[in-house]
Amino acid sequence: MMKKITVKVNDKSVVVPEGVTVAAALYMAGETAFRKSVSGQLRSPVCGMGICYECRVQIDNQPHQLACHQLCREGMEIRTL
Amino acid sequence: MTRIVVVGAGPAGIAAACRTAESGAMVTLLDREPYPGGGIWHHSIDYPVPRKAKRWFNRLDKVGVSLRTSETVVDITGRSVQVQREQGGLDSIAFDKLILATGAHELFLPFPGWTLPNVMGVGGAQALLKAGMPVKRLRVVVGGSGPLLFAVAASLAKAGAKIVCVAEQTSLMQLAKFALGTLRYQPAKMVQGMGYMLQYFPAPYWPNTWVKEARGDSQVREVILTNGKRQWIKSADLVACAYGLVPSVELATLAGCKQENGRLVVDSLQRTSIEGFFAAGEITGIGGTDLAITEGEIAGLTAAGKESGTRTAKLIVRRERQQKFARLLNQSFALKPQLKQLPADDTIVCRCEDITFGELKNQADQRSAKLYTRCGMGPCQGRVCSSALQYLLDWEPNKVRPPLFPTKIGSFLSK
Repeated sequence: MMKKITVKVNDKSVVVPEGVTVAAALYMAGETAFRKSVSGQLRSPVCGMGICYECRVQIDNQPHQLACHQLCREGMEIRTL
Repeated sequence: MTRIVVVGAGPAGIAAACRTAESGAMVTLLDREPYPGGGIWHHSIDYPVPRKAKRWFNRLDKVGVSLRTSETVVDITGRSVQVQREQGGLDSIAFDKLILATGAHELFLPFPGWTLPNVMGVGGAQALLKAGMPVKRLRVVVGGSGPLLFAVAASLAKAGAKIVCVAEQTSLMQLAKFALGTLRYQPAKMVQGMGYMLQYFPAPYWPNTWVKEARGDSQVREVILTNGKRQWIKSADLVACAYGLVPSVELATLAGCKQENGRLVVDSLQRTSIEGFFAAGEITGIGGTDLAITEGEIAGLTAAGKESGTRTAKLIVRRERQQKFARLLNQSFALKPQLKQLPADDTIVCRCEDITFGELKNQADQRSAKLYTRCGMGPCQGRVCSSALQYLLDWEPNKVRPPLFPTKIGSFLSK
């Protein structure tokens, strides 16, 4: 059985399998918009490999973190937009 | 002991690291991702890795390479690379020999609506799916160009997505030539391809078709497809669209390695124009996993001083056959000139700074576009827009400057 961990997505607790990326956890939590662009448009991941920077979110109060490159840790606090 | 640094832990980098380490060198293998494997052998929580990948991962475990994941090379000076650690701070790693295996990224061509949430790349969708993105019951349009479209449509279908269609821009004639050539050079790949088609059956595969526009509100809802003569609408919850791959040559450019048509120039032993610098895999030209592995092995053996052995000679013969397949691949999926008409004047091209095609098309070149509009000055550093503009307007890419990826100021201070 895969181990589960709990992270917070916009203050809501979400249980995810251990080893998933923050991007995957956000999709699991039903989020499709990850950030707002400089002109206010909603954006979500494009490349999935860390070059497009469209998946930037706030993780544990650190802004501009790549959701597709970071793995979820127990208790992690993730914020979109 | 010879110190060898390999940048990029995809198939080429893993093969190179194994070969050098087995020859007794001290090898450091670096990758930006949390797991080794690169785009094609991307780590997955749900799916087992392919057999070939498993063999190489096991071999890598055994040889005693220092594998450093979540570490990004941001600069190179002389014989050392500067690496940003995940926890912050920079490390300088000195080497005697460097093997560049930085791979490729997808070519995204801007079309109206491509900035909507849930419009992503083809490899992008694959990577996100493997990382755990749920796709059950989502209606997916797969578009763009290349054999990856089959593979990704199959994985998405297997994970429960409903494939609406696969829209391939190249013609039926080109596809037929590709199928015949594949049968000749890589028959096993033909079987694999048919298997993929069965997995996403009964979704149609449309040649000579491309995504003209995506429409939606908070995310994509429908897609307009065209074959150049007529257009039609399909509902979709997710669009996976990309037009093949572009070699990721930024680090090699910064190092000063000679290039031609966006690829690294290497000799028959995978040596670049700089003494002690080698290159393998997609950065020497897009050719797929098997070619990347062979090139990685040759680069590794040469870097370890084993270039005159029979093993290397055999690998060189194997590489020739694989290069033929690579040429066929690149000819068959060459992009249609009509795709240059994809962006409308109000279509955003630079997604970091929200610069439209209309603002860019009258600029003289990439450099003036950067100076006057900020195009390419955001965190992606032009990796997305510059490749697109190179295709759309024949613009040469801008000079590469360190740091190669956004780096915290604190990392420089604490160095």
